[in-house]
Amino acid sequence: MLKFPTGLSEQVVRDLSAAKKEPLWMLNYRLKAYKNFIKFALPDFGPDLSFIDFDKICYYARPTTRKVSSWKKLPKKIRQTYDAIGLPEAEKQYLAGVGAQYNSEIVYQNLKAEWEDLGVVFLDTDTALHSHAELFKQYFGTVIAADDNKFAALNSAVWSGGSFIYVPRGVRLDVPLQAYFRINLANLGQFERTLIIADEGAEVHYVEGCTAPIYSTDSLHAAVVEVIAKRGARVRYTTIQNWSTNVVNLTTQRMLVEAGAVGEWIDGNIGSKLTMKYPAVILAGEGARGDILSLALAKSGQTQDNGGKAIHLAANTSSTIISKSVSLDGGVCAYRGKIAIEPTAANAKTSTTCDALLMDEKSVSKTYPTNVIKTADASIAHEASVSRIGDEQLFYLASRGLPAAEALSMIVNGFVEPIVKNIPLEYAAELNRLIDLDMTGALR
Amino acid sequence: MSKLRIVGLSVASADGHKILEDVSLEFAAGRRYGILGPNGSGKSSLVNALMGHPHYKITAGKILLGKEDIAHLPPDEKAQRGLFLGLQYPVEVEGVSWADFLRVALARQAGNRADFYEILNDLRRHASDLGFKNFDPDRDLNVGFSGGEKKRSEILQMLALRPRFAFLDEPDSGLDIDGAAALMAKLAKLDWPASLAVVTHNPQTLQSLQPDVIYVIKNGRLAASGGEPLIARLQSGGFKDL
Repeated sequence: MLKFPTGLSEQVVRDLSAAKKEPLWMLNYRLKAYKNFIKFALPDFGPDLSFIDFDKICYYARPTTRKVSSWKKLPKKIRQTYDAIGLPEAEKQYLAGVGAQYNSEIVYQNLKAEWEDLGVVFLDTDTALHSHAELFKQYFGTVIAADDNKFAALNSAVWSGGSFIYVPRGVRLDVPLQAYFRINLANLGQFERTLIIADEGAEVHYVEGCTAPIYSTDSLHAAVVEVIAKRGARVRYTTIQNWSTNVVNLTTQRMLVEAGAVGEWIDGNIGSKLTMKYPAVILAGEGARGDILSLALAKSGQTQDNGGKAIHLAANTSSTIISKSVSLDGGVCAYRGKIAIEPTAANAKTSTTCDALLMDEKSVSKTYPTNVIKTADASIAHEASVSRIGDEQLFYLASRGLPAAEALSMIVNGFVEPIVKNIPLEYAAELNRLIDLDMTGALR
Repeated sequence: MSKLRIVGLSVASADGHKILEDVSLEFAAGRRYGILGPNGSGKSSLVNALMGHPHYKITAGKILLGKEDIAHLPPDEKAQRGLFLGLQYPVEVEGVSWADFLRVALARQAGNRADFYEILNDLRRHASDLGFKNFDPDRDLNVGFSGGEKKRSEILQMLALRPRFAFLDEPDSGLDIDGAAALMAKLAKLDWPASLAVVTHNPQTLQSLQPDVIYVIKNGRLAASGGEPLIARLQSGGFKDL
């Protein structure tokens, strides 16, 4: 295992880029981003991040195993890890392509042959930098710049791994592309970088699920996800994040949606100690549509600070944000949303619904919506509700024979159902099981 | 085992306010009961406390099922022993389909191997008898149901669960005259040997049910009990004479 010392410096950035044999432009890009990272302050909103000790984080680790093209060729230990989370079975059922990340680098890639024939590219981002240099350079950093925010700058300086997807004009993938991510080293930051380009009229659904084992010290995850939906394209990006509760997850993800295109984020946050993530859609072309479905579950010691942003730049654009959060056992959920309708966005439509469910007295729900509307003809809807699990509801289900834990998980699963019904079946089942487990614990 | 005996039951609200005192009643398999009383008498509290509603506390007495005192069992265990309470105001549960809920409830019944598909078919027939026009088991549990639909939904659940001791709290409220008549007709001919008790403030409700026994609750106590003559007396004189 090649592992860098902890801490970040210009030299670490240079070594990292050299170890990956990157072209000069990428090294320069990283160095510039590193300067931004040093210069920028921590975010001036949301939860306190001052506890993060950037000197204690390892910014690059690489398994000694090189990438392999088939499941059987993976080292036994890695196979066992993935067997434990059910990856091969899932693949057998209906996965089309799989990228599995083991310590910051993709070791396993598989894409169905017929899609390769169609010109679809599904690679780890490091490989794509070399194999699809022009395409990569054309789009990399165009949606989220290296000076966007401190953590996007950090990712731009030290990124490693992630997925690169290109779907050519008019190609429609009706089966989702999936990637599994896993952090295996304590104190190992994971800075994956994902870039998805759906060319004109293309369609793609990308699914990313995360699980992580428990370790003793904090682990930082700061990803950047850039998505480009060109004219008439349709992109859906689904993430279910279940990091162990010592991981801090600070991810910037944004989608550029061109004329007539549809961009969708489905964002589930179950794990981590702290997640700050606000998927954004930039509706840049006439008639573009952006939908954000967000689900958060915060238990004791967890803060889920999530939400969504919709930036309307063109006429007849529309956006929908639906956020559902469940706080239990002292967990904190915050919804942070931004709707911007620029003067160029005539006849824009936007609707936000955020519902919070509080399971007990000590849990917390907060809402921070921001609307900046610069047109006179926009249609804007906003609904928010906070409900407490009612003992009337629990009694009702119990009186028909359901034990308390089962009644509780039925109510919570019912509450999140509008989001869950939009995610692939196996993830939905996994999510429902997680909620069942949490509810059993909640009653102790 | 085929008798449920309430012995010397006292009930208080969660904040300690006394609601019922020293109430003793008996319910037997295959028999029909009316639990009557003026508004605020405590009759609704009685059946809710019986089922284990968290807003009520049983402060004294026993609820004997055979030899077992089930007074302080949680509601789900009472349900699993065959008790059923049809609520006066059934609650809404979003995202949980009516059918899924019922399927889980049935699955929790020991030894129930009934075919759910057949049960649903039976329920569609019952729904039509009850005048439940838009019965759709895939809808969310009680969400957006009208008052009358909620009451019919309770009866349909009871018909599927086939409880040994059913208590229905004001089952006809929210229904029009025809709806109430259809509901009472359905209750009058259950096809299993249930003990069925209907809570109501209106003696007329019970006419088609022809209850074997009437219990009258007034001011938190059992004020009278008896057979058919008692209904006639209540219909002419109301509760004030008791």
